Amino acid sequence: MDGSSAGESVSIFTWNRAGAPPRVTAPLDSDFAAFPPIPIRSIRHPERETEKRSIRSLQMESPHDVTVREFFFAPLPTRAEKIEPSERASKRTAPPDGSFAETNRSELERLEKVTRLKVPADAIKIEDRLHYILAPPLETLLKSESLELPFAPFAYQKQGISFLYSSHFAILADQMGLGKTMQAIVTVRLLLKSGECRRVLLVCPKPLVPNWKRELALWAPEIGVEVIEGKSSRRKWLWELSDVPVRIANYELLQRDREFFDTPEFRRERSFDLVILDESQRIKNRHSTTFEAASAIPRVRNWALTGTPIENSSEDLVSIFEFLSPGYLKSGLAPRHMRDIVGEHILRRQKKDVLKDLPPILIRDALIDLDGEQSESYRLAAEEGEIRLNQLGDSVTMTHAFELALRLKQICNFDPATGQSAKFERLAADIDEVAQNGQKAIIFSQWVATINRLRLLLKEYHPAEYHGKIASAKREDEIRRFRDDPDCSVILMSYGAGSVGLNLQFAEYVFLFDRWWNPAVEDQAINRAHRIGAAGPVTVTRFLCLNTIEEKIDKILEEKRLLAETVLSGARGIEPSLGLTQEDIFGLFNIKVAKRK
Amino acid sequence: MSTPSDPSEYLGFLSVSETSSRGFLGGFLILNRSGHPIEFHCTVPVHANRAQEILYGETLGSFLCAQQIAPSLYKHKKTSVAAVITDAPLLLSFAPALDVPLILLLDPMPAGIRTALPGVISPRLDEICAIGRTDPALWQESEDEGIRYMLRAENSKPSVSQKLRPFRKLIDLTEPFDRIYLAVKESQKGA
Repeated sequence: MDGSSAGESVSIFTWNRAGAPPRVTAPLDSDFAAFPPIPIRSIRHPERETEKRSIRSLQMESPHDVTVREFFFAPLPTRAEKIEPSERASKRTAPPDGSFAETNRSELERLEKVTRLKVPADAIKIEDRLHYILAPPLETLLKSESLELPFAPFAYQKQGISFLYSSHFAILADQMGLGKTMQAIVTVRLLLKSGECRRVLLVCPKPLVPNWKRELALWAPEIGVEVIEGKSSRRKWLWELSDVPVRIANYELLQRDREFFDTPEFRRERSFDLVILDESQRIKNRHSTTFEAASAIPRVRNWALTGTPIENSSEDLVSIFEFLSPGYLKSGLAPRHMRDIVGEHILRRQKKDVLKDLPPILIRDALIDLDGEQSESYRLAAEEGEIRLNQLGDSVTMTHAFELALRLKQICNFDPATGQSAKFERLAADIDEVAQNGQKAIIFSQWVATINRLRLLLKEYHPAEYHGKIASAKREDEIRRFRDDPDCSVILMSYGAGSVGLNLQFAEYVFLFDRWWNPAVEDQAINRAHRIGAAGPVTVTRFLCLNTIEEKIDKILEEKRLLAETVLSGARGIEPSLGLTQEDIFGLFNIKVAKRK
Repeated sequence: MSTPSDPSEYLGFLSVSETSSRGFLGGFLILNRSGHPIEFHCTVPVHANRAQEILYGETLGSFLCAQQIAPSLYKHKKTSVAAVITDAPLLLSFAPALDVPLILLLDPMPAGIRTALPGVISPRLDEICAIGRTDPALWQESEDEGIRYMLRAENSKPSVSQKLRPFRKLIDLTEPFDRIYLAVKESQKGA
C-alpha cells in the first residue's frame, strides 16, 4: 500500500460540510441544519479541496511533498459493504493472540446497539460515501429531544429506517405486521427535520387513510398532515397550494386528480421531494391507469411499501421498479439475476427472522368432506359446468371457466338450495370455543353473501363486520366494537377490505372460510392478527373441501408461494411457475378444447 | 487556520491505528453537539524509514503518531473545538502542542492499551503513560458521570467535565471512533 514516510509531508484527505451538496429544500427545524443532506445524483459536487501540508522532520532529509491520493477514482465495491459490528471491532482492536473476544465484550455489545446509515449502492464518490459513514448513528439522531418516539423501535426497524433514509428508490418489503408504516413515518420525520424533504406525498388504498392518519399522529405528532379529499376545487387547492409537509392521497384519487399534478407548472414548482406508495402491489400492472397516474407524480425520490412485491409473477416487481426508477429492472430476467439487480434496493425481513419473541403462529388446514345435499349439489354443478364448457368449444373463454370456479367455490361454502354447510358445522364448534374462552376470532371470506349468511348464523356472538358493504365511516366503529366489546367475539371480513393495514393483534384466531386466489393476500389477512403486539399464539384455520376445486386451487397457491420465495429470499434451483394463468384456470376443469381464449 | 467559531459547540475526535505493514493511519473528526460531522481529515499510511526506526526505537510509534500524524491533522482543522478526545495512548505526548485539553478515554479500554498490556484489566496511569512515552506526573485520571478518562494535570477536572457535558446529552463519546475507523478504511479503498 502506498503511503507517506515520516519526514516527508503527511498526505491528508479532507472532508467537510462545505463539500457536501446543498440541501434539497429549506429546513423545518434549525436544530437539524448541521446535518448535511443526502447527495442527490443530479446535483454536481463541488470539487474536493485537496491540501498538502509539509511537516517538520526530525530527520536530516529535506521535507518534500507527497502526491495527494486521488480519491475520486478509487474503485469501489458495486454493492454497499455491510460491515458487521463484531467484525469492525475485531479488525480494529484484535491483538494477534486473539484475546480480544474475552476482554471486549462490553465494546461488542455497544457496537451492536448502534445502527449506522446505510451507504447507498449508487453512492460512488468518496465524498458521498463519507457523508453516510460519518453521519451520526440512528440512535443519536433519534435521541434528539424533538424526536421522541412512543415506543422504542426494534433493532430491525432501525435498520429499516436507516435503509430508507439513504435510499432514493427502494422497496420496503417486510412481511406484514413488522411495522413498515412506522419505519416509513419515522424516516419521513427524520428527513423533514433534516431539511432533506419538505413535501411528502403518501399514496395508499382508500380504506387505509384513517390508519395512516392515526399512525402519523402517533409516530410523528408534530408533522402536519392533510388528506386530499373533497370536492374537485378543494382537492386542486390541496394539491397545489397547501403547504403541509405530508399529504395523503388514495390510488383512486390519483387517476381523477392527474390533471392537477401532471402539469409542467406543477413539475417545475411543486414537485414532491418524496412519494411513498403503500400497498404498492396496486401498480403491479404497468399498463393500468393507476400505474400511469402514479408514475406521473413529479417527485425526487420514491419508496414502495408492500409485503407482497410479487403477487403473481416477477413482472409485478418489474412494474414497481418501473415506477421507482424507470428502466432499472428489465422484464423477462431470470429470478436469480433479477434478485442480484434489485437486491440493494429491496429490504425484506420475515417475522421468523427478526421477531424471535413474537408468539408462534399455528396454521392448520381444516379438511372438510362435503356430504349429503351439499355434496350432491357440488357434483351436479361441477358436471353440468364442465359439460357446458366443453359445449362452448373454441369459443370458451377464461371468463367462462372463472365463473364456474366461483360457482363451485360458493357451493363449497353453502349449498345454495338447502343452506347446508359442512364448513360452517366445523366453524361453529370452533367459534363457540373461542367465545367461551373470552377470545376473539377473525373470519375471512371473499364474498359478502357468505359473510351475510355467517352473520345470521353467528348472531349470538354479536359479530362485527368489515367489508365493502360497510360504509367507510362506520368501519372504524366496527373495529372498535370488536376490540372493546367483550360480547363481540367475531369479526367478519372480506379479503378485499380487511386484508391490509389493519392492526387486530388482539385476535387469537383467524379462520379463512374460503381461500383467496393469491397466497400473498391470504398472508396479509393472517397478519392482521399475527403482528407486533400479539399477546399470544395465533391459530389460523384454512378451510379446504376435499376432492373439490378448492383442493386444486390450494396446489396452485403453493406454487405461487415458491415463486415469491425464489426472487425475494434467495432460494436457488427453483424455476418460477407463473401464478394463476389462463392455463391454470382451464386446468381446474376437465375440458377438451382446441383453442382457448 | 481556524475560522472564528464558538469552540464550546464542537468537539474533536482524534485516532490512529496501526496498519498491517507497521505504518500508522490517522483520522480526525469534528462533531457538533448533536453528533453531526463538521470536518473530517485522515492520512494515508505513514511509515518510518530505516533511519527513524533506528533513531526512535521503541518510541517510534509515539513519534509517528504524536509528532507527525496528529499535528498535521490538527492543523488542518477549520473549526475550533472545546477539547480533543482520543482513544490512542500513543497520542498522549501530543497534548502539550494542543491549545485545548486532550482527553484519553479509558472505558471501554482503548485498543492501544489492550494490545500493549495484554491481560491487564485495570491498567495503572503510569503503565498507560509508558505506552504514550509521557511522564505520568503530568497526567491525572478522572471519572465523570460514568466515563473514565485521562487528562493533563494542569487541566481542571470540573472545567473539562463542563466542556463535555453538552455533548454527552446526545453523543456516546466512544461511538465517533467507529466512524473514524470506517471512514479511514473507506478512504483507503483502492489505494
